[in-house]
Amino acid sequence: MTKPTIGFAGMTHLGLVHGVSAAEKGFQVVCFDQDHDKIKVLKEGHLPVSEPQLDELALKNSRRILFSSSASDLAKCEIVYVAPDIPTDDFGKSDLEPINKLLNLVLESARNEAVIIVLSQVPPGFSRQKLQPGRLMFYQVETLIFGCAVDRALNPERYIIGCVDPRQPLPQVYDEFLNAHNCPILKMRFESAELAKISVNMCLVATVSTANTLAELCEKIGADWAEIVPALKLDKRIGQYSYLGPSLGIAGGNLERDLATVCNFANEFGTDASVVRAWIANSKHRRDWPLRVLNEEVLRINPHAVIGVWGLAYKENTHSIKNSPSIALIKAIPDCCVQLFDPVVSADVVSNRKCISSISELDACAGVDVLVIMTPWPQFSKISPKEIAKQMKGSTVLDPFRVLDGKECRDVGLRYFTLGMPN
Amino acid sequence: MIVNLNAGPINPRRVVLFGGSGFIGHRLSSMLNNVGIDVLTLGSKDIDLSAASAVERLKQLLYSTDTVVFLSAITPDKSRSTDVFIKNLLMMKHLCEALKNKPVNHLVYFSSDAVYGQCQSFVSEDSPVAPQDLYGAMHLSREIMISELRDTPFIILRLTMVYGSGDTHGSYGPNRFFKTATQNRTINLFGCGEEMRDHIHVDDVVNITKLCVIMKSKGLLNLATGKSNSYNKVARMVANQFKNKIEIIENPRTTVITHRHYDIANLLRAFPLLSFTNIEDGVSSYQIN
Repeated sequence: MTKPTIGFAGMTHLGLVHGVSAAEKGFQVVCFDQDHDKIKVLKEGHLPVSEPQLDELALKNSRRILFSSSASDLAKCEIVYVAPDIPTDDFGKSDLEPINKLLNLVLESARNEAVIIVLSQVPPGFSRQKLQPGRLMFYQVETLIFGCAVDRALNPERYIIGCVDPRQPLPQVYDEFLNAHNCPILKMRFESAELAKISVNMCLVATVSTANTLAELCEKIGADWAEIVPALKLDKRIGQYSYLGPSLGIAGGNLERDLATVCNFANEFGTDASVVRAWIANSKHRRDWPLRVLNEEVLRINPHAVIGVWGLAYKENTHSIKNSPSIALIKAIPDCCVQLFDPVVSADVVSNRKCISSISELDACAGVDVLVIMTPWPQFSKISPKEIAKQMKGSTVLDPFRVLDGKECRDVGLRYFTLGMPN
Repeated sequence: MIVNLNAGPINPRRVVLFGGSGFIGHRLSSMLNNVGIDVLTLGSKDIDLSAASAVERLKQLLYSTDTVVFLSAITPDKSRSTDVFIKNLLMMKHLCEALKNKPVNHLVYFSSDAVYGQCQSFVSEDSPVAPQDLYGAMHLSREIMISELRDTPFIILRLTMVYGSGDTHGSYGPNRFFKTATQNRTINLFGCGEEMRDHIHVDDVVNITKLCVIMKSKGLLNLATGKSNSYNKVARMVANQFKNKIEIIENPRTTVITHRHYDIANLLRAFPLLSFTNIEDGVSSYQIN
């Protein structure tokens, strides 16, 4: 029996990663996008998304992947995933127009018996509204994490599937595709699945906010959050994979979307979301940590200080700058000369005449009064503090994520500031 | 969030300063004069803002190119009565009526951190307002009146504990500590003075106001330093300024301890190069008679 052909509509981060991963699992894949230029670039082997393993797997499985801008190619598929980006506004509210349009096109173009699966994140209530008589529709919770998206698509912890009736078996082709990933399949009603995704993210935000709240307290009372974290991770109720590293708040857009969705639903239905609003406020407060330290330790004394910034992406291993703390910091210091370096994101995203693009980490340090490490790219940790000190004019380093070894920095005469411990 | 409407510093044609004879107003007037800004200072002797006739008078006085800095208020040290509350509101009512008819270039309004609830220990501009006395309610009401102005861009500056030589109010904190230390050689604390407060030097307030004026800033800012100290610590700093021993008297506590800290990120975002007077330097700058 031949394996089903899987379609992915919308060559977004989500659609592309899942398409390439399905090909790696041995399925024929149709990767569709209406944007001819995007498809042309993909056919040439240039992927617009930066993810570990993605380029290699796309190349390795190229014979199984058909990139197409023709919707009629979706008729080749037994299963079609609908995966456009759902843009959010400054308040985290979703714009559903792109998915409405793409879903209509898929329903028109795919075979009547094809299984249509919404993969983009949609608010509770969306999927049931889209049901059409005689069509098979599901909502699958996506668990993409920027920076390890391919690994998670190939080895998911579980599948959460929203259905019209969770008591009914899944269509055979869909079941076959999911079972190729060897993980539990949790069926539930549409609304539960839609809220399950948000619930996962709320638990993550709760952990992040707790970590940030206590890390800030550590900075004031002489404790070191890094010493406390292992104790928490060994507690079964908290767990070894919990997000306990101190950070500069919530960024990337997806978690912010869910926070906004919960607040909006709570407003509409009269439930208490005050804790969610507190998380939002805490996130904003922690995002500004570098600005406060920079002002206190450098700019108050030297208003003409030159600032080196490593990292523009909102986190490591991604090109995304959505709600990036680095961008927020640079916007907040428009009159300062800034030397920027990010391994993936171009300095052009910053529209500030006083920002200069650097070709390397050490180039960004040349002659600066202060270095601020705003994204914990793994390669940054390989740079020796001694080399950094040699390049810099000043001696202040702000390293919120502890990319560098603090002791080593101090040993070479750098003034080292980080999250979660007194400086 | 505040926005600087001027791309760079521009001196306004004239600043009309209401309440210019007070502690902050006096210093602000001097500072603006020093940077070449023409200042018209108006006090209660020049115009009774609480009288209905003030509206017409203001319309005659104000030009569309003026920046109005509004410091006028009857402060709690004078009276906390309902009559004063109403009088303070009338002052703003009349200013707003005049500005609705005759908008000006810019309005800077001095409000107070009394608009926040007493129990809020960590405050930013996003913190919910919950005034617990008529003074706080007055400032909040005035802010709401101002927010209805459509044609005059405005900034609201919420002041925390302002200190420095020349204070006329003698409010609890460095100002009163100096006064009583000078007069009686004592400093009286509520409880042991454990409460943490953000004390901002009057020169810093004046400097930030100047920046708001020349950058034509719009929005809402708390004026604080981001660093809080206990009244006890400040009392000891004050006592150390005197050659003779000053007795610090701790009293039985009658109210619960409340603290107040500020997140000043919005202030830094507006003016990233801002610096503040250290409390130690500020306290040592008092002139001891």
